[in-house]
Amino acid sequence: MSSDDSHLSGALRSMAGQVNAPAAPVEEIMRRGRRVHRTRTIGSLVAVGAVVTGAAVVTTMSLGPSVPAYAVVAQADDRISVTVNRFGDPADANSALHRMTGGRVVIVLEQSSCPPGSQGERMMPESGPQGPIGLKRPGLASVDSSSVLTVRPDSVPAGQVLVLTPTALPHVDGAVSWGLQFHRQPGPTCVTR
Amino acid sequence: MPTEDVEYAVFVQRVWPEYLRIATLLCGDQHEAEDLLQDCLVALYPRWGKLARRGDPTAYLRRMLVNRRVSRWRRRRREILTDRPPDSTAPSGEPGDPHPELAAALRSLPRHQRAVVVLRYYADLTEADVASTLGCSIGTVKSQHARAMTRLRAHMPKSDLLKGRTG
Repeated sequence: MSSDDSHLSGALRSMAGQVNAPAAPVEEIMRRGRRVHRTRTIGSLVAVGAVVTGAAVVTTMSLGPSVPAYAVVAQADDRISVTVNRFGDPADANSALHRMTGGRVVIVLEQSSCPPGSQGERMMPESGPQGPIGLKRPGLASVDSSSVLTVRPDSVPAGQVLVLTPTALPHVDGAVSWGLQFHRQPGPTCVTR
Repeated sequence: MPTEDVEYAVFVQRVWPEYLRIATLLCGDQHEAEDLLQDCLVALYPRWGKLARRGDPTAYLRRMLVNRRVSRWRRRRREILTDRPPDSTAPSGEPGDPHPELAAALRSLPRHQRAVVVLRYYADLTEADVASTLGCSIGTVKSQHARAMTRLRAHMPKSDLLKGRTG
């Protein structure tokens, strides 16, 4: 793109920057979309998203008190799969995560009973040409179509802990998103393992 | 399926701000742009499962945005003319508008030329991608682009924004 093109591009971006975008009317759009589609039903859902990066991955939550809240499974390729069945005490899941990842990955609920100061020191992502890096490490976390969040513990920087925090995803009943943050080791000290 | 609904909700939240800006540049009016984008996303919903698995939902959304914008423009041409202009909610001309002259010049462009300019210079699409979005040949994109630049220059003869461009 020539410098003249850049001038026009810059002017258009400057104009577009004046647009004060309101929050996306997701509920309204989906309600209208369902009406168009007629037979859609939602069911109980869980979305898993990297809130800090703005990226999002999804999984499905199945309800039932007899089902463990989270299922943690070691994959053959050294990744760890975390399945959310329902929101509950993540102690058992954290125990398994600690055993499998050496304390590199931990689940902390947003409404946890962690007293102030026990959440540990959050690391600010470094800046790079593509924006904050670290949390954007390829393969750090992803989800497959069978609704399982998969984490690669060896993508967690040395001396840091990846904290997964499930929060409600607005606009969709039963849906939540996961926040992903790096904390300096040992991470949140309030976590029961 | 339920998971697809959540994926769709996440998609809508992710693309809404950027595509609202593109739609506003295409329409010249943010409220109209919000309506247009919402209509496109509603129409995309039933196709989401297939698009998410096999296609590029953002490219599909871009095509819908441009095509529906053209359809609306055609509908409006059939509307009854009045000597009382409606209240304008266009962002251009408002206090703080950084390029009112460019906004007015953009509004003067025919729909396809305007789309070519917005997609090339704001969305940073290649000529091939613009052609794919508009459903026309690359040659048509080039000719529409050249005409658009000529027209913009005519509207802004003293502007530095277009100096030196040959189309």
